[in-house]
Amino acid sequence: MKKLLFTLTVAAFSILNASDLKVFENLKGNLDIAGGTAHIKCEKEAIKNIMKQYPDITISIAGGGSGIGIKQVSSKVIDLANSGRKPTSKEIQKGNLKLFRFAIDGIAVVVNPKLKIDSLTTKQLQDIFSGKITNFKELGLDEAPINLYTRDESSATRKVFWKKALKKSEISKKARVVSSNAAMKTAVSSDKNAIGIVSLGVVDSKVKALHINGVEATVKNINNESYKVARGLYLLSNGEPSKLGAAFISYLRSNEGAKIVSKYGFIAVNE
Amino acid sequence: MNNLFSKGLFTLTLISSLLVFCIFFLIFYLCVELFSFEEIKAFLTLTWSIEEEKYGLLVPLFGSLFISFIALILGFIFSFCLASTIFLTKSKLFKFFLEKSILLMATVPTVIYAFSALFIFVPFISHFKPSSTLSILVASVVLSLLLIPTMSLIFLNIFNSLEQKYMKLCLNLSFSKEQFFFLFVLKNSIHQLAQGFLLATTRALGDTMIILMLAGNALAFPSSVFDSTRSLTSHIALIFANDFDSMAFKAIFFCALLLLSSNFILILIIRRIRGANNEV
Repeated sequence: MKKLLFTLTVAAFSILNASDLKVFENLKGNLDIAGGTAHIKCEKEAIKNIMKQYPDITISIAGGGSGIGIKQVSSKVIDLANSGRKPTSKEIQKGNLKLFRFAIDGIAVVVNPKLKIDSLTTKQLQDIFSGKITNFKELGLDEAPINLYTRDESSATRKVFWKKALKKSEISKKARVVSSNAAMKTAVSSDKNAIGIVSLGVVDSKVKALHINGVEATVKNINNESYKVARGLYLLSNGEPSKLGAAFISYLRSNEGAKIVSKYGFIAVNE
Repeated sequence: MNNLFSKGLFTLTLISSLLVFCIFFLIFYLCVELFSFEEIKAFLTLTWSIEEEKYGLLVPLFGSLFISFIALILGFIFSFCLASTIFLTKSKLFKFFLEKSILLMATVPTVIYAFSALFIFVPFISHFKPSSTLSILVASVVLSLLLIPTMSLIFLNIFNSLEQKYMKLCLNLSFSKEQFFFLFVLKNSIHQLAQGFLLATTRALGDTMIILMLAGNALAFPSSVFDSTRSLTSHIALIFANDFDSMAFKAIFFCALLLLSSNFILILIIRRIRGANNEV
C-alpha cells in the first residue's frame, strides 16, 4: 500500500513538473543569459531540467555582474540579463528594458566559520566597513586584524548593502574587492579574519552569516520584513522577450521554478 | 618558393604592425575625443570613487608598477639561476628534467596559478601575517612564476647561442665551461639579458587574472608589500560593468592608453638596446 502511495505521489509530481516544463514544447534554439552572479546556482538547476527534457534547446549562462548584464542585454548581445537590482530609469529607457522579478534575495554579512562572532549592529557594521574598527579586539574578541572584503562598485550586492545595511556610510578604500559572490565565498572561507558580503543564496557551511541588529538572515525574516537587507532578483529583456526567453521566465515563476528558487535560499515571487 | 614565403611573411608582418598601430591610434584618438584637459588631469590623481565622482587612476598605475617590479626581480633571479644551472650542469637527465619543467610551466594557464595560490600560498602567508592575505606580495610571487618560463627560455637561448659561437675557441684556450660562463658569457650577454627582462616586463604589466584574483584590488595607496592594491588591468576588468556613458567606463580608454604607452616605450627601449648591441 505504502509503495503504491509512493509511486502515485512520484507520478503526480512528475505530471505536475511536466506541465510546468510544457511551456518549452515545440521550442528550439539558443538562449543566452548573463549578468548577476547570485542568480546562477538556481538558474543552472532550472536550465538542467529544461535541457534534459528538450535537447533541442541550448541555454547558456554567464556571470559578470548586474551592470554587465544590463549593458549586454541593452545592446542585444544576450537574450536575458540577470540583475540583482532594479535598473535605473535611464537604463530602462536606454535599453528598452522589460523587468521580470522572480525572487527576493537577502544580502548577508559573512565571516569565516572559525570566528566567534554571531551578530553585529548597524553602527558596528558602519565602523567596520568605513575602516574605523580594524581589529576584532574592538568587538570584544581576541586580537586579530579585520580583513575587510567588498564587491566591485558595479555590483548590485554592494549597492543594496551600502544603501540598506550601511545607510550609505562610507566603504573603506582599503577593503579588498572581489568580482563575484562565488569569489567572495572563497575569499572569506580561506581567510580566518575575513568579513564580507554575499547573496544569501550562496551562503553554506563554508561561511557564517551574521545577524544584523540581532535579526538572523533567513528567508522567514526577509518575508516578514524584519531582515531589511534584501533585494529583488530580476530577469531583463530588451523589449518583449523571445519565445524561448518568455518560456524561461514563465518556468522560473511556475510551481517547479518556485521550488528551485526556494531550494537556493530565495523567496519566489511572481509579479 | 623561398621568395614567395618571404613575401608572405613580410605581408603578414606588415598587417600585424598596421593593426597594432591602428589600435594604438584608435585608443589615442578616443582619449583625445572623449576627455578634456581637466578630465585628464583628474585621472592623474589618487582617489577613485564613483559615488564622489572622483576618477583618479594613479593607484592602479602604481599598483601595476609595484607588482610588476617585484615579480620581475623575483622572476629574474629564479630564471637566471635556472638558465645558468641548465647551461652548466653535466647531468643530461637533470638538464632534461629542468627544461621540460620550464616548458610545462609555460603551458599552465594563469588562472590555475592564481587558483592554486588562493588555497596554498594565501593561507600560508596569512599564518605568518594575518592582515596580509590578498596582497602585493602574494600577487608578485605568483606573477613571477608566470614570468619564469619566458625569461629563462630567453636566457638559455642567449647562453646557448654564445656557446655555439665561442665555446670551441675558449676550450682551445683551456677554459673550463664554468670559466667560459662567468668570464665570457655573462659579460657578453648583458644587453640580451636586459632585452629578456624588458620583454617579461610587458608580460607582467599585461597580466589580469593573477592580479585580479590575488592582489586584493583595494583602492587605497599601498604602504607596504603586505597591503592590497589593484593594477590597471584588474581595474579595467572591475569597472567594465559600469554604464557606457559614465565617466567610470570612459576611464577604461585612459587605462588602455597608459598600458599601451608603457608597452610601446618598453619595446622602443628593447629596439634601442638591440640596435646598440648590433653596432658593437
